[in-house]
Amino acid sequence: MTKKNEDNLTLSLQKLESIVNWFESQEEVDVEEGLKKIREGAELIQSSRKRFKEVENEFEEIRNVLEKE
Amino acid sequence: MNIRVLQELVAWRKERALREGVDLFRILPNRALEDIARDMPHTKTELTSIKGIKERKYFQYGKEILALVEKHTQREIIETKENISTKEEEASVVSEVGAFLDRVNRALSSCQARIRGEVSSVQHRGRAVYFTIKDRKESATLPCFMWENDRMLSGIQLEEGMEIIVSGFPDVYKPMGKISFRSTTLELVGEGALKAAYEKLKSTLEEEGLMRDDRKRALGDFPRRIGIITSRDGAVIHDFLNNVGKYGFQFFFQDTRVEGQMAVRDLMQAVRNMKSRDLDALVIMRGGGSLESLQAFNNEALIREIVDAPFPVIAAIGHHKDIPLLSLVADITVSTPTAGAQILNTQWEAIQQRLYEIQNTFLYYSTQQIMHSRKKIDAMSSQIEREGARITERFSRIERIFESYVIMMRENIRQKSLFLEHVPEKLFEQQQLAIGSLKKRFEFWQRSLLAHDPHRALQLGYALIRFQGSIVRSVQEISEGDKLEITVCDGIIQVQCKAKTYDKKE
Repeated sequence: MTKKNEDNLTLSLQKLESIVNWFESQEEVDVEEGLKKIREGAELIQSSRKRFKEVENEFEEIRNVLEKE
Repeated sequence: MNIRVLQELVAWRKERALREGVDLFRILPNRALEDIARDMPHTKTELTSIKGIKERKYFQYGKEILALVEKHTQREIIETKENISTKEEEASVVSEVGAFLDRVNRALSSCQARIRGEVSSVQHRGRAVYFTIKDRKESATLPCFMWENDRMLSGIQLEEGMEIIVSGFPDVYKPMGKISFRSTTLELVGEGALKAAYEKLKSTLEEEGLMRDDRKRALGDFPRRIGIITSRDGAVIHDFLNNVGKYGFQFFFQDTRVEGQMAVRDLMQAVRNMKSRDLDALVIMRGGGSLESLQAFNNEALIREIVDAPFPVIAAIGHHKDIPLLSLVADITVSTPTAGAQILNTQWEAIQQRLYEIQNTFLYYSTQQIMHSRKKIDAMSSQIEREGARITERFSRIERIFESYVIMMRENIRQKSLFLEHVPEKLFEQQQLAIGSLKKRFEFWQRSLLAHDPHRALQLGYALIRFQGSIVRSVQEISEGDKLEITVCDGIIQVQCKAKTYDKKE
């Protein structure tokens, strides 16, 4: 696993926040547009949630070994 | 190649590197260690002929390496020549002074000791420190030698009168033939001394601004690559791992001693190892302890090592009273491994929480959209209902009015018809009544007429006297000579008044 996962998470969160802001800034929410945004958001939430599904931690022990010159 | 010698050389190099705070190859490269294990040198010439070991290295490590090799050679001799007493043999052999002192030193190097005493003199000479410690009770002194580097690692500024414990082994300095104690570590004795040293370093670090919050680094977003430095033994590492969330952390763990003078070297080497890795954070942990047991975490050299780490350092060191200086300088400070784990969890938990919140917001907006539309429909339909009701109401009002009119009319008719029904009857009654009364009147009139009929009176003998057509009632109405008519019942008599007389009564 690389940093990519976290970047996606950050990006997803940013997108989600912007959707939330959009909703909060609308005086009268356009139904069609609103439902589109909600669908988009739901997908982002779902994909972000996957990241939290019991990701096991890795454990590596470091030693001052001969090979480590 | 003598594998046992190589193993010991590797162990020796590790210890050396830790003590000097340098990388392993700076002590000696692998190749040189292998060559030593192969050639098993016994003299300076033999040793310096090995590639990588020149005068300087020999000066630094020569004796130790030769002693190490010698130890094995001796052991082998003992093992192979079991029946021969080496001591007796050696005693009979004539040695040169230098060689003899080498032998003495080899023997002395196994006299590892920890010695307590009071510092009576201190001299700094370049990379070395010469000092003397004396017994507190009896008259006994011990000259000591220490590398400046080792002294710095011990974190103790030597001062006369200070009570310390030195660790190391005795050694004869060949040019002078004098014994000195080669110290590898120093420790302060007594809570008071420790406390004073603690306070002194604390104020130094404070003055340098190392404890200021604005210097400290915050934990970045989503920490994942985490270095852990603590002891493998004890509950600390378990507490930490049990409390850290399963967020896909990558832990790089290094086991170190966490107490005693060697702990500083271990910890420093571990921090250096961690610095070479691309970490998001480093966690340094240790269970609680007294000021004395936590000395390693009050070590200046170690503290300076973490100050310039390229990642934030989390200190999770338990303590009774005085916070370890390392904790004060660390970027994030907690006092338990559990709290340390929670620091790492925080952001992951927060983002999970935020996701829930966003999800709820979406849920809210989507329901709101539906609700909004529904409300609109509801509003419209109720408006239509109202309008409709208004029409029907008007209608029903009219209906009611109409109804009331009908009722009124019906009542009217009923009353009229009722009246009409009774009219003939009444009329008849009244007629009868009228006729009756008329009849009676007639009868009355008849009787009256009969009673008053002058004719009847005339018959009775009464007469009517008229003068010029009018009835005469009084004497005065006529004069003498007037011609009068007297009516009787069967005709008229013409007379003339001869005289008139008034009634006497008048």
